[in-house]
Amino acid sequence: MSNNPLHQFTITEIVPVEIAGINASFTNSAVAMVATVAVVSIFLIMGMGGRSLVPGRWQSMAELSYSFVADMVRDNVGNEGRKYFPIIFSLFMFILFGNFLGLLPYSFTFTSHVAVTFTLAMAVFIGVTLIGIARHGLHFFTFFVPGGVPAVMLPLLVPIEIISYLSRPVSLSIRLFANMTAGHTMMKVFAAFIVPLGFLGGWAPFAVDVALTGFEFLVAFLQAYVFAVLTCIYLNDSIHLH
Amino acid sequence: MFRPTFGLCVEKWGKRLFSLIFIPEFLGILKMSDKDKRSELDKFDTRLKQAQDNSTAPRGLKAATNEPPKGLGLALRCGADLVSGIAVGVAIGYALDTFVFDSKPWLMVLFFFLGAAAGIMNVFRTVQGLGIAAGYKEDYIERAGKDDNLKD
Repeated sequence: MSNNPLHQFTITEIVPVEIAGINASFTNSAVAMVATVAVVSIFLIMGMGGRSLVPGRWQSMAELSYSFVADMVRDNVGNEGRKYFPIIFSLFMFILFGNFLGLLPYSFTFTSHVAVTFTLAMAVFIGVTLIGIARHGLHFFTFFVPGGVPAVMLPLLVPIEIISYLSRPVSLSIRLFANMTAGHTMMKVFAAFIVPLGFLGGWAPFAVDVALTGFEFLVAFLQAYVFAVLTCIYLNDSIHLH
Repeated sequence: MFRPTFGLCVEKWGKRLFSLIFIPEFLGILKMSDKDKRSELDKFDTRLKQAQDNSTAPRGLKAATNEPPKGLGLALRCGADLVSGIAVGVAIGYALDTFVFDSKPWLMVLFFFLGAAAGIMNVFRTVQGLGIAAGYKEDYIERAGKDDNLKD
């Protein structure tokens, strides 16, 4: 049914592949990811191709995105965070362009699938935890013991802290996935009203859709930003352990 | 009576010719008096110096993580933080019940409340601007001393 607002999230297999009983097909989601990587690469590599001292429009967009993330890393992690700039920049550009390309009509938003966002969030979570353990050893686990608390309260507070820590990848992935899914569904719901309401009534949902499109651009950027900034904050926590 | 000397004439017409040949942006600078030019250059100098300092100085942590996020960003973060705490709590409780202790549903109930507490703590920390880190020891102590809201 083409009017189903959730139809846009259906995964379709384009090149069916099965490895050892696991369905590893090349899907429309994978196509969107490959397209995103290609667009990001073109944007950055060709944008910086001129390497002119006074940048043109394209080059200054590429430089702007670089310095935006560089400042974010420096402000939130400090100078020790410079090592981790490449991964944060890649994450940010991947999610940002994935969100933006998903706004094109007939395209597919891969960030609207929790499988994708949870994988990204788990990669961040495991990486950050390993960095913390590598830098601080067993001292890392004092992270879960809040300071200034009487010892009687610790059996209650330590599990809460551990759950709070484990909930990080969940909240990181749910936030991105839920925002993208909700926005795209809402746009489809209003769009489905435009033609049935006719020439006179159809303008109202059309106006809502125009506003929603602008709002979706904001959300697309904001979610990529929040994902990157939270990655920085988590990284900062495990580098500068108190 | 003011009579334009030859030198002034040359300067005037020279400027006009100059402004015709070069791009219009230069016009503004040419019309300025020397004093204006000076202050404009000073302003540019300070801005340049600022930019250079910013890019070279070993900048550590800014207070950014200690500032509560504002507006839409805050709203988007809080909801997910609250829900994810409960979700993880229930998931852990359910897993322990089913696979470890065979004590359905008691651990799930216990961990539901622990998860809810963790979720609320996540939101509390986000709003207080502590980041959403577990165990910010120094901040706890510092803030408990300074901040009356925490004592109340």
